[in-house]
Order: sequence, then structure tokens, then C-alpha cells
Amino acid sequence: MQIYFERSGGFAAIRLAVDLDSEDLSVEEARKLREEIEEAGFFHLPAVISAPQAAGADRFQYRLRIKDGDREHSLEVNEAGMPDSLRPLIEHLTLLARSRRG
Amino acid sequence: MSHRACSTHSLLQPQRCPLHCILPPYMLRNIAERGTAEQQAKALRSLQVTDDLHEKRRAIAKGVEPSQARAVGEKQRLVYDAEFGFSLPGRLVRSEGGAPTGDPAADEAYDGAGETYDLYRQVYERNSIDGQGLQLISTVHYQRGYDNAFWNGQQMVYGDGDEDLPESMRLFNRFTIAVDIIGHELTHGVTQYEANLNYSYQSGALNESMSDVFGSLVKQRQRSQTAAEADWIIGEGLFTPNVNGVGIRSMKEPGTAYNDPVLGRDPQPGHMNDYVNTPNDNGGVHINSGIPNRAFVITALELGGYAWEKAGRIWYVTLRDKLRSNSNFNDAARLTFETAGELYGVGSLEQQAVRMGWLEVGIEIDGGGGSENPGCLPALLNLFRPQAGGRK
Repeated sequence: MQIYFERSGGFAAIRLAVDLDSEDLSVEEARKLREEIEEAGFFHLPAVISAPQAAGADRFQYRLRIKDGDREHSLEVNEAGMPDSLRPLIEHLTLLARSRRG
Repeated sequence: MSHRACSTHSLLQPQRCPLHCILPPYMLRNIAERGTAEQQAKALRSLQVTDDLHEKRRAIAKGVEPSQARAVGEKQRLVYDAEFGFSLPGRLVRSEGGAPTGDPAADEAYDGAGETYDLYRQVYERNSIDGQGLQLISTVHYQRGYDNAFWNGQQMVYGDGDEDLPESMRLFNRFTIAVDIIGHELTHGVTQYEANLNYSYQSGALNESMSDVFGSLVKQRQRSQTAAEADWIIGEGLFTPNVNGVGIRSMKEPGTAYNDPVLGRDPQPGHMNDYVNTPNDNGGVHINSGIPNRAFVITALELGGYAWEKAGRIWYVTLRDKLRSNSNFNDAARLTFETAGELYGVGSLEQQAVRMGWLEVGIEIDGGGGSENPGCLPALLNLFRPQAGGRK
């Protein structure tokens, strides 16, 4: 499974991105990601989830591309419009990206 | 003043005054800006009476006398703790007048909201985010490892940066650490209630720039710094010592705030020649804001003294009265120039400073000092000048 994750926007607007291959992750980490992907119904989400009206300012924007076997999907989501079911996956990927920065 | 005859009527027996309470305020504002001198004067009177009536109606709705309504419309801060979750607003930890909590994030959010309120109230005579004393709600300790601060349409929210990572890996401190970040977030609220600039591309970059401008003015006023003394850095102290940078943005020299092997380089342009076209960051709203930011700094440096007094007033009045949700950089240049003419006189040094500010970032303002649309102030002045002829 390949995952591309990118975050832009926010007050500091410093891009954060990571490319992951499940082969390079621990078995436990890969299992947890798969679980979060399923719980989010990731492959059935629309391609773009925008912020609602009057959503404020300085929110993050995320881009995600996941390829798992013959399943593949890309998603753009604004933090202000994020479904709760997607939140654990985004938080997990954000932590992985932040920990691997540098 | 000549509107006295109409403003003394009681709510129960409204006196009939032409225009009053019939046209919606936005239409009156249009007339006040674009009508003949007589129409402008009438529209202005109506706007004043309408504002008066609105206040009385609000007071009646609350069951209190207008004088009391004013009294409660003062600074009203509430600080909450999200306890590292994402539910807002969280648990209340400090309200207006309450003792310090001892938690730096909560106390900085409280103090910074107060400094920002004071700038708007004491300098620009604005009562809070909505101009009507709206409560200033802040939440701190939002999520874990949350390296951001935002305005969600109703309140300010602050993360703790990289508190969840080992110290050697941390890049961000808590987001309440710099008062200009607090001023920045609160100003997003002001913008929402005024120009309501669309949060994408140029209008979004103007929205961002307004937040940096007034955020920086909060900091400068707190430190009693003139435009020349100010560092014009946004987010000073937000980076940990692991980062090679002085802050998140430099309003004076966009693109120079940080240059770091991990974070990369500050991407802000300071001139239209370097405008960045990107779909990221809502069309580069935090990137291209460097251009109007620098126009403001140059204007303020040209004028000298405290930047919040003249440059800040020109920008504030433009944000409040002139910019629209789809305004772009050219509109902002033209309208700040127009406002400077109204506040300080056509052809004044102030107006020339505004022209210079925008010119330095590659935006030329058409016209030689006059303006096609003289706006409200000349009409207001006409009220006191009986001989002054109307505009043809």
C-alpha cells in the first residue's frame, strides 16, 4: 500500500508532506493505518471535501492519495469540513509526517 | 447637528423622516458614497439614526435601557481549555476579570485578546469583533501536536505546537507565545464582520494581510514602538531554537523570516513580479499576503511615528467601509488611497505615502490625487459647510 499525504495552509502555512509505503512500516503501524482507512471509508469518499461557509481562517488543507492493490483514491479535504470518521487517519498521518520531518 | 430633529423621536411614535428606516443600511451606504451632496447628507443622517435605532432595539430585546446595554458591551473575554481534544470550546478556565490561571497558554490568550480589544477600542473606537461587544472566546491546548492557530468563524483556537515530540525534534512552541498571532486571529473575526474578504487567492491574501497588519500593530502598541523601531516580524518566538528563523513572516522584508534545512525557505514575495500562483494554501493566501503587508510597512515608514495612528487608521477604515468580499490587490490600493484622501485630505502627505507604499510593491494607483468616489467624509464635511456646492 502506498500513501501520499500533504498538508498546506494553517497560520504558518509551512507545507508538510510524506510518502509512505506499507512495506517500510512496522506490521503494527501498517495494520493500524489500514484499519483507519477502512473506518473512514476512504475509497468511497468524494474527491473534494470543502470547508462549509463562514468556516473562518487559517485552517489546514490536506491532500491524500492511497493505492492499495487495485483500489486507488485521491482526496482533498479542508480541516473545517473533515468528517469525524476521517480524523483518526489524518491525525495519524500528520504525526508520521511530523516525526519524519528533517 | 442637523439630524437632531429626527433622532429625538421615540421608538413608540416614530417621526417620519425621508429615507429613515426604509432603505437597508447597505443601500444607504451606497447613496452616502455615490449620491449627490444632498443625497449623501440625507443618507448619512439616516445611517446615524438607523444605528441609533438598532442600538435601542437591541437594548429592548435584552430588556435593558440603552445606557446599560452600552455598559455591558465592554471587554468580555472567555478562555477555555480543550484538554488536547478537538471539541470546542472546551472547559472554561478564565473569564473576564478572573485571576490568572498560572497556565501560560490560557493567560497569554486572555492578555493578548485584551491587548487586541484595546487597540480596536481605544484607537479605532470599535467595540470588539462585531463592533457590538461580542464576547472574545479563545480555546487553548487544542489537540495534541497541533502546530497551528485559527479562527473558526466564532472563536480563536490555539495549539501547543510540537509538545508531543522529543525536544530535539520540536520546531514550534505554543501558538499563544506571540501577541501578534492573537491579534491576527481576532482580526479574522473583524474582517468576517466587515469586508468579509473571500478566503482564496487575492481577496484571501488581503484577508491574511489585514490580520498580519493589525496583529503587528497590537505588538507595536504594547511595546510603544514607532514604525521605524518595530521589527515587523509575525510570530516571533514561535519557532524553537531548532529552527533557523526569526518568525513566520517578515512584513518588512517578505521571504526572509526563515531559511531552514527542515522547513525550507520563507516563500513570501514582496513584489507583484514575484506573485506566486498556487492551488495550495487556498491559492497562496499566506504567501502573497507578503505583497500588501509590505505596502503597509512602506506606507507606515513613510509616515513615521506610531504605525497604528495613521497607516493603521487608513487600513482600518478601508477594511470597515470600503473593501468587498471579492476585492483584489488593485482595489485595496485604490481604496486605501481614497480613504487616505478622505481622512487626511486629497494630495496630503498621508495619501502620497499610501501611493508610495503600493508603488514599491508594483501596484500603481491611477489618478493624480483626487478620487472618482470621494466617499462619506466630504459629504459629512458638507453638512458643516452650507455654502459648499454639491457634486455635479
